[in-house]
Amino acid sequence: MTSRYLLLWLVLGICLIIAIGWNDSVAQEDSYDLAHADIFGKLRRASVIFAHDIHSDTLAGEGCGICHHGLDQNTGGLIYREGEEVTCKECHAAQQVAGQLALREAYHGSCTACHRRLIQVNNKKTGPTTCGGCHKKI
Amino acid sequence: MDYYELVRGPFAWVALLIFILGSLYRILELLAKGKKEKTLFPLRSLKDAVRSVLHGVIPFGATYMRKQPVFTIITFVFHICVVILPIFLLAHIVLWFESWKILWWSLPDSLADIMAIMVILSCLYFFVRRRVVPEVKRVTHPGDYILLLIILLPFLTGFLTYHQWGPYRSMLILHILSGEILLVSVPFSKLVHMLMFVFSRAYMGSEFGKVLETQEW
Repeated sequence: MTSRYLLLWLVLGICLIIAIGWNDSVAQEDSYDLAHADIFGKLRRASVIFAHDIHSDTLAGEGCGICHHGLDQNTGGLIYREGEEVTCKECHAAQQVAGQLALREAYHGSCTACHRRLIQVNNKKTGPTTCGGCHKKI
Repeated sequence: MDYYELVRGPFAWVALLIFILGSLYRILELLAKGKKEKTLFPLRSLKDAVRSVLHGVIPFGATYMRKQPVFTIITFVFHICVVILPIFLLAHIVLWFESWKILWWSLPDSLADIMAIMVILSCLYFFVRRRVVPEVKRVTHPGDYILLLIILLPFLTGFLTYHQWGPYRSMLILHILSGEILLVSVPFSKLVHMLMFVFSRAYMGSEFGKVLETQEW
């Protein structure tokens, strides 16, 4: 009797782990609170709520590489490697180093620049372009 | 039509071009006028000119400042804030980097906030001064109040925008627009003293230099 329950719990446990892992590998959380106090220290602006799914849905045609890039050691340029997507702060630090943008400029360069580009090509589906559009004080 | 893009893009370019070209025109026009003037014994004392400019930019460096200490302190604080704040404000630096990839040091936000309040209060002081002090009231024209408003608006709307008080997006658009109006006004109004004070003080210093050193008997 005890072994049957043990087996049941074991199977359920394995299913749960697979479910969590599976879910983690194919989808992102709905939204993140981008603050990075570990890098920026005391925040000078309100943190940004970033919805990954809205971005991946909207930019499905352009691919993940439009945001996610990494350094190509051979050419020195930026390339997209599928399955090796990391967040901006993995590479971009608080201060600019040797041609690599600081985290603040990297974020603005990706987020604001892309939102503005979409407006300029008359795409109605775009994100905020103003400071307070993203950095909302509550 | 995205109004933010409009004021952030084309309007900003137009304002900047009018400000730069207008300023150049005013300076060149002044220099050309100076050359045309025929004076029998033109006084060109560099020492007196530089001395006068220095006395003009040092707090309490000129007699008229020592005679009115409150006005001197307020006007110095006002001028320092008006020039320093827009150049070293974080939000502006972020935008310049976005457009031109240039980056420099920014003021702490709390200090920037205090500086904006200083400008707003100074504008109120200048308004009251124009209404109340008889010798100032006598030389005040309606246009002077408009100029005061042109200076007040970008700082007031900037302060409200930073705190996200009121309708944020409209306030931001109004802030940028009022800043552009201020830039355009500089070469073509009394605000031109921003460019001209060096010349006028240098000229006056050069002219009066000989008087200062003349024995009275």
